[in-house]
Amino acid sequence: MEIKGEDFLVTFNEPKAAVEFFGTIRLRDSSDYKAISDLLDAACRQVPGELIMDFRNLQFLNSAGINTISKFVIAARGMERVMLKVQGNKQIAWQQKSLRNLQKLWPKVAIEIS
Amino acid sequence: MASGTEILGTFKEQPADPVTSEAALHLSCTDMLQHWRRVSLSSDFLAKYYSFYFPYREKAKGRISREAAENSISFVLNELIENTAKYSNTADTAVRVRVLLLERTIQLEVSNAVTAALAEVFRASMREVLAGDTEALYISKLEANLQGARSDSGLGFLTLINDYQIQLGFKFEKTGNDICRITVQASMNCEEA
Repeated sequence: MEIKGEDFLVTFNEPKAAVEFFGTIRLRDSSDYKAISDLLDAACRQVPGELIMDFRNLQFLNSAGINTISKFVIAARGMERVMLKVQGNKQIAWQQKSLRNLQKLWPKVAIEIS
Repeated sequence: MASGTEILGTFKEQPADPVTSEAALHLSCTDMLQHWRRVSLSSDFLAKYYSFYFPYREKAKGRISREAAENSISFVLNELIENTAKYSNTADTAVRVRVLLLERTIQLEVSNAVTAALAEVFRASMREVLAGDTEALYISKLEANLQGARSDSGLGFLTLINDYQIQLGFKFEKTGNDICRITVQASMNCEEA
């Protein structure tokens, strides 16, 4: 399962139970983000215990994208079927600034920024 | 808006500090809607251009590093320019982007034209953003959004305030019968918090 754009790639790495994000994602609005949120939902249904969201290679995500991820976290909190782990890159400013907010939405989200 | 102009938040007609550098882009919302990546390209260009004013990470004592400045300036500008492209809805398709580098802050400014009705909706939304507890407002808007409410307007601005400590100012100018030009000013600190 993967979604490819001109500047980005989002892929579900099943053996690692990880959704990996690469490049720059700055789509226009939530309808353009539907494919990515569908991929996250599908990955969430398939992994047994913990789903990793790996942003370490994502240079940019606009606020519409951050909202998409946030909504996914709220939905996952509601189901409580899997735990979520977020991996970030401390060298990339937007990740330093915004990823920890996901924990405010669901305190059980593990955040690892290295 | 009886006088024709209204200000919200912290809007500076003239910068308070001396200007180290200024750059401007004159764009069209039509161009950006035609190729959405033009928004990102414009933001990245100006961010990279101004990043050279910031020191390398190893030397960045008290000042934001070059890498962080580039990423943050690009994020903020991209949010501002995206809005101008998304919401311009009159025959006046001009979008103005201006960057002013001051001593301690960098001022990012965009302007675009909308109908009086849309300006009113935006004004109400920005009053809410400027007035309240922005952290709580962000979460309540997100949750409302999940219930299907169309309330994502403002989420981008709330991210700028909460995560980038941006100071926002807005100017609404009546420029035609049913046309209002909105200028958004976002001031970002160049020094480490």
